[in-house]
Amino acid sequence: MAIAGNSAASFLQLHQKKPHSLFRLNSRNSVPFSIKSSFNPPMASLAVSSSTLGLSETFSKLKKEGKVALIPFITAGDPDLSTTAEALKVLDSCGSDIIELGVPYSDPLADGPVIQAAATRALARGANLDSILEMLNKVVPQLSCPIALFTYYNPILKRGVEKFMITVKEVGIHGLVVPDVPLEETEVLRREASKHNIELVLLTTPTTPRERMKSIVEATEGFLYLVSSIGVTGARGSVSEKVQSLLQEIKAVSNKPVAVGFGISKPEHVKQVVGWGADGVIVGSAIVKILGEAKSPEEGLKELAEFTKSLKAALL
Amino acid sequence: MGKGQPPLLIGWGLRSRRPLWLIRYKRVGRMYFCRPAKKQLLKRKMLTLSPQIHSSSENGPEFSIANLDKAHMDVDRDLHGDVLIEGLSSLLGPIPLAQQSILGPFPAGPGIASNPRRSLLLHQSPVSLGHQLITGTSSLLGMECPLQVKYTCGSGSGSHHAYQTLPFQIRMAFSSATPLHRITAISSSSSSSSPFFKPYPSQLSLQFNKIASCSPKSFALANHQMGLDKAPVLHDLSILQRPDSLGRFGKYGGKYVPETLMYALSELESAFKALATDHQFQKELDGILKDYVGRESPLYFAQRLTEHYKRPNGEGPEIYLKREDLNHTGAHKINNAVAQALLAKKLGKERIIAETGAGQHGVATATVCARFGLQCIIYMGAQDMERQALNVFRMKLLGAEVRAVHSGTATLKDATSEAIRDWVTNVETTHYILGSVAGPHPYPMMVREFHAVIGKETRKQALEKWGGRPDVLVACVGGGSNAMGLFHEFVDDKDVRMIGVEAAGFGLDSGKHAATLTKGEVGVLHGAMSYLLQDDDGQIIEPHSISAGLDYPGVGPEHSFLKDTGRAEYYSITDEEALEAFKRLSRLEGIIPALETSHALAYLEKLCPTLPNGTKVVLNCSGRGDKDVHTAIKHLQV
Repeated sequence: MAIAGNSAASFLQLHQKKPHSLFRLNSRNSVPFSIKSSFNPPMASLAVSSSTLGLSETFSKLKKEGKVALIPFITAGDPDLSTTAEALKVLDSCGSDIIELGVPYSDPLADGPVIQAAATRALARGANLDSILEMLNKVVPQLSCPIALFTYYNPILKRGVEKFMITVKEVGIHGLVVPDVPLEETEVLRREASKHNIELVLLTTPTTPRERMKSIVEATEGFLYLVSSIGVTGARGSVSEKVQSLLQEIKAVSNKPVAVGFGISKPEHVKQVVGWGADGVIVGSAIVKILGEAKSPEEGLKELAEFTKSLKAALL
Repeated sequence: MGKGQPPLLIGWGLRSRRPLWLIRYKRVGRMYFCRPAKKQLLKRKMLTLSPQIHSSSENGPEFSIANLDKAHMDVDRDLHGDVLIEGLSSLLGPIPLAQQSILGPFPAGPGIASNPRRSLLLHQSPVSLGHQLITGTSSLLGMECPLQVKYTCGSGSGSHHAYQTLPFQIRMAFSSATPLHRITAISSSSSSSSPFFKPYPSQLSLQFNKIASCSPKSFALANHQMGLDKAPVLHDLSILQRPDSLGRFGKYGGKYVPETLMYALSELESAFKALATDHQFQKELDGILKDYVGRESPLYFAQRLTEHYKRPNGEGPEIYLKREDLNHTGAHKINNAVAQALLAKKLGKERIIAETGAGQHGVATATVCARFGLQCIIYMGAQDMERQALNVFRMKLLGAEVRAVHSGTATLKDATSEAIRDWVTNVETTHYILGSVAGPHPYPMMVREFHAVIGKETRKQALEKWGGRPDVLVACVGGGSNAMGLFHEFVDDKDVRMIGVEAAGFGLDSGKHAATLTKGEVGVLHGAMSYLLQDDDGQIIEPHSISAGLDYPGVGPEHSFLKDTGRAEYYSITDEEALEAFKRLSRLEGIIPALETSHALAYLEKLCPTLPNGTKVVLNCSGRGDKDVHTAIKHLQV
């Protein structure tokens, strides 16, 4: 598998080294480019060894069943990677439809104190992308729901966008959320992600003007991440009323599934958001807090299971 | 060389896929005199040129030069009306010879094979997303391709034209799609005293329609008059390139922030552009800079320092200090703080947040908030608060709330992240006064423009003092605001050398330094793509420097761009060398500099022996050192 991966990567590089490929970027002559884009390295097809569906497929399946997706978020490596591995299994068995896995980063601009602290702890423990992917390699085959990685742009850039996509696909990741890349800069990411069948999820917020929101909805893959309030992640007392009108606006423009995140921490919030028409609910800080503040990892996992079940109950 | 020569093939149009011809008339040294080719030749080639161009030929051909990231050309007009193309070698300077071969074979004509530097005139910048940049030389008269070749400013729509040109005095009367006369018409009407009156690319497209097309003939005359006053017009146009409408300097810059902030950033940008042409705002700002900040700051000839660097035979450079340390609050930071506070008031925001490392920017922000009656919250790393206790007290005295940041490494980068998070949460009521030319667009552009007054004054003062321009500019670089303020005015003056000095902490190999441009790699930090110090996993690492103001793991994107294009040079200085310089200036001139400035002063030790006699060196004395005496006490024996 690794050898095939290497050859795939080098094959791709060979394409890139041609000098006139630079000019092709301007796609005046787009034929060679389309050939390139339809080339899927053998790794991509091999990696989907698990029977899990992609993000949009999951959503369409749920829609047929009339259900709303539960999307929990945890930070990889907090309190340690083995706990994260267990937590992923727990979340999966308690009924999560998609799991968002956060890669810890030293300067998370979109995260509130809970997830920040979790990232600091994870980094102090030595968690890095390689170790996280190693862990995922073992765990993903045992999961029934797809995983989306939540990471900031710099670690992706450091590896190289293409290489990142290849490595991540090898492990079986289905989706990617990068909160600090705005729509204008997502071109490169989207191109590479779609080449490797990874769905790049884009975010929209209450401050986004309508026209821009429409472009974001058109460009997003998998689902649309609707940020419920103006701010960073973190549990809030209640969900902002604006979410309802935003959901209506988005639904009017597109059929793509919309998941609401940031600040949802209780089953009541979940019910409220579902009542407004969301296709998915993302719960982050509340879950990270449980794992982080637990007296021991086992305790944490138990509480996590209970909490997830209560959230799932609110969805039914 | 002469009329008998056939036109020279010097390149291949990438967009138009046609050969580009240089019609030379005569060559004198490195300079090429050109005349338009004979009418038949022109007619054959000028498929898209309007006949009006021919009629303007009695004034000599006038043309513009499209400029690109890495190469540019000076065009000047000589007394006889011949067009002089100067500095072709400077055109090719930064372009490696390897790239020339991409553009196709060059004929082995005279002057081409012998000096390949004269032959390459096309370059496609491969790194800029959304930039489609092709240039041709201005001498390619009668060429349909170069005249159509445009620098499209990243907006994606091909019709958005902008030109950047280096100091030149001639404009080309093109046919229809010539934004150039519009550009000149705009710039001639705006006053030269405002700190930021340059037309920005997106602004340009609006004015595109407003200005009626003028006949080339009258335009040529008007041009000639306009062309006679050099600096203001020319420099406006060159700024169009930096940044473009997406906020990029080449591949650096941009707006890598959470989506919540995108609207606020575009609102800020439009407010900034609107105020650029608002005379009331200019006047108010100039008044405050003069009466409250105490501008203009002197350009001081450091006699004893100059003596110190004289070589045994009595030769050596002349060192001038731009005394930004004499500003109110003791540093250059106030220039930006004052302007941004005024901007915030215009936007109707009552709450101001800022981050600070050394405390100087925090003090400047607290000062202006007290002056304008705004609520002020400063984020400072817990470690920095210990190092700069004096500044913390000052900020509190001025009425600001100082919030300690304990996350991450508790230094400037974490304070900046926390400030950005606060802004994300309170974006509707809050304005974020970023202290340096880093951060998401439009901050690098705004902060640079607000500090550009430093360079403008330097130019004026240099002219008064020695009737010329500085030869070398030296400034310390942390985020890069004081350096950009000094450099910006002179970026287009090719003969002015620009040197930025970073902090090497314990040494570049020790791993404890803040030499971002020397040792960093390209990445995204706090909203901008730029060089930064990161580890193998892409995590931002904590830098170290004795001076808190240089202790930033990133750098402004424009500095990254200037470094890559080779326009500016960047070196680094260790803590020890900085402390030596700190002592030296105090002893020799009676000026106690900030530790940040001491880094720039320390570089003079290495620089001055290499400079010829009489070189004018202007060093930006960006802050005074009263705040650093506590640190100095620990390290120095006096």
